[in-house]
Amino acid sequence: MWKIIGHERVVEALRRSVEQGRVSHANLFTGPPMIGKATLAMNLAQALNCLGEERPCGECVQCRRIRESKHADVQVIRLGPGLDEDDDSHKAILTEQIEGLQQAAALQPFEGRAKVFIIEAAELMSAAAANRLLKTLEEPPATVYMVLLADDQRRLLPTVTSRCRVYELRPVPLETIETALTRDHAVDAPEARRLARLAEGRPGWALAAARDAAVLEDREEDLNEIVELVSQSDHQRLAVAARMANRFGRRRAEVGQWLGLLLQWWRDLLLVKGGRPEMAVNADRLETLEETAAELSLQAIADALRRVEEAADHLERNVNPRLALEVLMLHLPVAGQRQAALAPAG
Amino acid sequence: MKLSCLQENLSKGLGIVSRAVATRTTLPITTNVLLATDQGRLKLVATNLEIAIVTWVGAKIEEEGAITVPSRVLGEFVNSLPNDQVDLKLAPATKSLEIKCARFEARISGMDAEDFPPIPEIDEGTVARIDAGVFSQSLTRVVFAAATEDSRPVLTGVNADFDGKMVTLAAADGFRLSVDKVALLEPVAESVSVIIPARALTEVNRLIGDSSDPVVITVNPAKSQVLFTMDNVRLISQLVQGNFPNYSQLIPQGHSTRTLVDAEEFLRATRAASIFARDASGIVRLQVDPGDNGLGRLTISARAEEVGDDQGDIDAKVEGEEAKIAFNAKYLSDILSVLAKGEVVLETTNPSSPGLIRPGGDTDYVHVVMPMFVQW
Repeated sequence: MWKIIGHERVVEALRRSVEQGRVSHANLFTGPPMIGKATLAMNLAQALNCLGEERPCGECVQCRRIRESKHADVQVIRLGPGLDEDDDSHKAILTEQIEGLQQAAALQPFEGRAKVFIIEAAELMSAAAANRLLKTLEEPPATVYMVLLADDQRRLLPTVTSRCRVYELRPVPLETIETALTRDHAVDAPEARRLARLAEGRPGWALAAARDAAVLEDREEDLNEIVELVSQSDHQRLAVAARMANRFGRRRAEVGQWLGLLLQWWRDLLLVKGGRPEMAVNADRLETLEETAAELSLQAIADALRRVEEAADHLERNVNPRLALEVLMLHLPVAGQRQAALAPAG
Repeated sequence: MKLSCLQENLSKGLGIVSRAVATRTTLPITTNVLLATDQGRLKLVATNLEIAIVTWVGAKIEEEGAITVPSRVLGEFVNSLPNDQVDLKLAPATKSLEIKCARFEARISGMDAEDFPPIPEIDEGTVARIDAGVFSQSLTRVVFAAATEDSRPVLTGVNADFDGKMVTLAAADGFRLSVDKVALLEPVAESVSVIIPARALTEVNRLIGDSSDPVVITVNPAKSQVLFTMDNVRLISQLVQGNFPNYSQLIPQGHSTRTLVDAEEFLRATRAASIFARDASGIVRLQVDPGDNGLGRLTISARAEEVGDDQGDIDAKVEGEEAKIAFNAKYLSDILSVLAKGEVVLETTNPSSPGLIRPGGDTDYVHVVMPMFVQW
């Protein structure tokens, strides 16, 4: 049984290729974070090594060891811990890691039938690392399977993508996530509905939030701050930018998430302003959304959205993070008390 | 698990398996060593997923069990203990290993033995037995020629071709090739050809040490693993996937000059020339002068523009015509170092064809080195 929420078409295609023994040796799974890429890769690794009848069975010793990350032939390559400033391992997947992979790939499997290498966030491979990988992608040894995971196929070298069979994971329907949460993970129906909506089609996020209350708390905390930005002074906004820039230096992905949340909030504002409040993700804050939207023009909201996207793009292109975030903060529209305070002067 | 053994034996055992402990790894448990009771003895196991080493230590077992603990911590601690009885006890609740020796006491946190990668049991397949001394010498002469970097993974391995009563070992890195053919103690049931990682064979050679017991080599039926059984030690290595290049065509079949010299003299002159060759792309020049009645001379020289130059002459028995050829100093001293004693034969055709070096006397060993192109 493939243990994954949604993605029926991709699963079916993979299931068939496992059955017919025609699994591609180089695969690329794309889709937004927490949509299920790593879970799918894990399932594929199990299917390739499974000893049971219906692969993956999830119960044989191979499936179990792979699930518990103890299998010697299933390796996950990801960003290193980045111990200090000079250490680049938290910014890119390095050539040394790919060389380690190639060294291991040259050997026969240790305990299973197939060696599976899963490269998480493959778009973070340095150019040198990606180029180093090409040969292995093109003609891997018979027992080696590569699975690259990436948010966006366009951020990989075309020479890499052209060597892979690409499976695109799309957002999972709200109902599918909701059902999975209530049926398989013992979440109450109203809570399941709420999480499924906030997940925006990403089952992984819904599961993480269901399992760990802190996920939702952190989100609420970040969102509170985002909601208030619109009525804050430039001084306060610059403080936020400075804090985020600092966080960016150490944990890049967190700032990406924060920007995603910011984008989501402004998208909700646009939906409310445009008269489709029922589509808003943050439906539990509808009142605030309506209040804020009422004070802003459609144009201002659209501009804000563009600014957020621009900032995300700049950060990706290694613009000075503090500058990029400050520019964003200064350009977000002004509303609420601050506007009221400014009004007489203006 | 509860047992006692001698510090000396435990320390030696841990030293043996420590060679297989992983250093950089994606599977943290492979930096641990597995301790398990096994038929009245203590079994020690380590693996880096390329090779695994298993050895046994005599022990008095009171309670069966198994645990893994960090190899470095345990190894260093045991090494620092006095030579006395060591008591090992597993505290299952905390998964820690308690060690008592003389007036020392320690607790080391471990991980479940069940999570340790399963060490392959190879009890069937193609079995070959070989004399330890013969095998060790052959490994010394072949393994060093394997490639160290991994741009072509098959070249980081040594091709082992078991056929009838002989095994042929071959290693190459693109610039040099070592081939040796040695006798097995009895013929193999079926011929088999595998690529064994050079690192594994280096460890096997080290483990053979001074032992004179025959080494038993077993290749599993799937041809994915090979087991070397030595005195109280087993080394299991994963095999390299792929096809080894056909090297027989690289061995020159004829020569125009055959030079016989003393290995030690040749090595000394090469090392002297290396000092200058360091600054001259490693180029060492050899000139063969046939002389009269076959009593000739081999001149080994190197020249670095900024540094200076040197020249050394040694006596040589030469058959054939005058010759000159240039080699990389490192490759030349590598091969001469492993031949060590006695006479060596250098066979050359012309300055741009590979040179062939072999020990004097009756042997199937050959070493081929690519020449360097230089202005004479």
